[in-house]
Amino acid sequence: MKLFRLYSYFSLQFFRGLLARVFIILTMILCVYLFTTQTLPHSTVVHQICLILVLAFYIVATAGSIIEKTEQYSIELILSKPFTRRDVILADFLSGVTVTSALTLLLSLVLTLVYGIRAHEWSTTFLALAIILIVNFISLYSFIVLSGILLKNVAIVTVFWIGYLYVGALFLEARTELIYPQAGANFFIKAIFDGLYYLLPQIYAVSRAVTALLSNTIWNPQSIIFTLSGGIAALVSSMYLFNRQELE
Amino acid sequence: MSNIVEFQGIGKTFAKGFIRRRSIRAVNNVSLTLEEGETFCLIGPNGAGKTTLLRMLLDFIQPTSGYALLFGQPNNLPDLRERIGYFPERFKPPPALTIYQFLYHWGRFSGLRGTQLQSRITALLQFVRLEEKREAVMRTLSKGMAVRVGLAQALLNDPRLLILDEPTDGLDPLGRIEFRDILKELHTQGKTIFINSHLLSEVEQISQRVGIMKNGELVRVDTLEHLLAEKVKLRICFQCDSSETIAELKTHYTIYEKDGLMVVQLSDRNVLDEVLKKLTGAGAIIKNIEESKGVLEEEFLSIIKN
Repeated sequence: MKLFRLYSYFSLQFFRGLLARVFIILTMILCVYLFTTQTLPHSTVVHQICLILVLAFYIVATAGSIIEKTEQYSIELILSKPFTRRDVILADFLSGVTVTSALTLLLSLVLTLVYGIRAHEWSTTFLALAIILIVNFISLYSFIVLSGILLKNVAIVTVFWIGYLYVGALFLEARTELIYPQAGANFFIKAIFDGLYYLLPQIYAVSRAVTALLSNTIWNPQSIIFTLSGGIAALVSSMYLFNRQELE
Repeated sequence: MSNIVEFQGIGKTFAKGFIRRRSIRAVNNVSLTLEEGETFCLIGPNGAGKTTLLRMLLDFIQPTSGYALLFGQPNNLPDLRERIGYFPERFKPPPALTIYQFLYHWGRFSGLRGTQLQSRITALLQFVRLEEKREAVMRTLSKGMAVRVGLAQALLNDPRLLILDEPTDGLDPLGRIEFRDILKELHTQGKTIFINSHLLSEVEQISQRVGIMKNGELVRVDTLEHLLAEKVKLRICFQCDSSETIAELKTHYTIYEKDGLMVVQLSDRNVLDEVLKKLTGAGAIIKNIEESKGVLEEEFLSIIKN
């Protein structure tokens, strides 16, 4: 019950901060997606571009969440009430995920309806995009919270995760072609890159898996499982670290 | 009377610097207790360790030695905060909320609901004289109003212990007087108040007991009465023709002339009889004996300078 009170307050704050920006930017991106040509909803290239653009926007919009709470000293006011630090992290994480997920699902529903009425074709593409976004964002946001607690700097956290989104995730995905030939028999280097790949959000693999699932082709849930597991590990680590951290 | 707050040999050392790590001892071996219903003020210059001590009490930072108890229990139990009201040094409420919305959410955090919460908010807004500003947005409030909102949020759960960290900092004189009146009223309601301040004139008017911190150490804890009694000044106004007696007294005490009379100033009441005996023995006519109370500032300065 106590957690729910904090969660509802954080959600309201999150919603107020994100609502206008999310709707403006997502509508712009997805309208481009929808109205440029009739074949676009099925285009993998546009699909990927939209995915990373929206995720990048989510990173920018949420990177400062936990840091601002501690920087603006409101954390002291909250912790002077009967909450634990674990409650604060969990409420912040759940509110961030539910608000962005609800907005994403709502928008995908609206776009499915608009496209369906216009093209007389009920495409699952927008729903797929929403699921991909949500799965990736759950994991990404856990890592954003963790890095926020460790680095305490909004700019560094934002740049780091956008860098991961555009470069890091692609690099790790292509590690077998880029790293393995260089590493040769060095098991240690291979293990490091494999470990990072399975721990961090597998953005592009999740995208492929969800698209395959919704198009009734053979799909592998491994990437979704690993991405969500990595997110849970990051969230638990955040709680542990924040519990030990001293408020400055 | 039970102990509401207890520090036992508490200390805190911070490690500063990224490459060259160095230790800074912010609080050193402080032991202190606060009894129920008292108003206790912690004073000291900037950097004396007052805020660090409060932050350890609220478990925002962990002590490197010793421990703190709240209501006789370890201070890290979250449920204890249901009995505490806290006003932080850097009070920054969410800027987009109205006063009412802010108090509503913070009231819910304290476990209040429905009509109980509504009536509590109304009563507190009246108490801090902000009932007409309930729909004002936090970012538009003056410093004085923000402080009163901060006090209202600290009182939402009707706490037994009120912890205020530099509450009158940045307030204008009128704001300070209003704030002082509110604290006096809270004291009559039986609240235990722990104030951290460096505004000595304020402290002097609201506290029963004072602790003086210097370089992380609690150098003196005493009732305000005792502290001020030590700085009592006695002035004897007299007429005397014996220059030898005056010269002798001058070697021990401050003597000056005022309105045609000689005045000898004593800072210790115990020597009064001895001086009077000397003066009357020399044929002096005692016109008047005045007593003036010391001020906290003098005691504070003498402790800090020593």
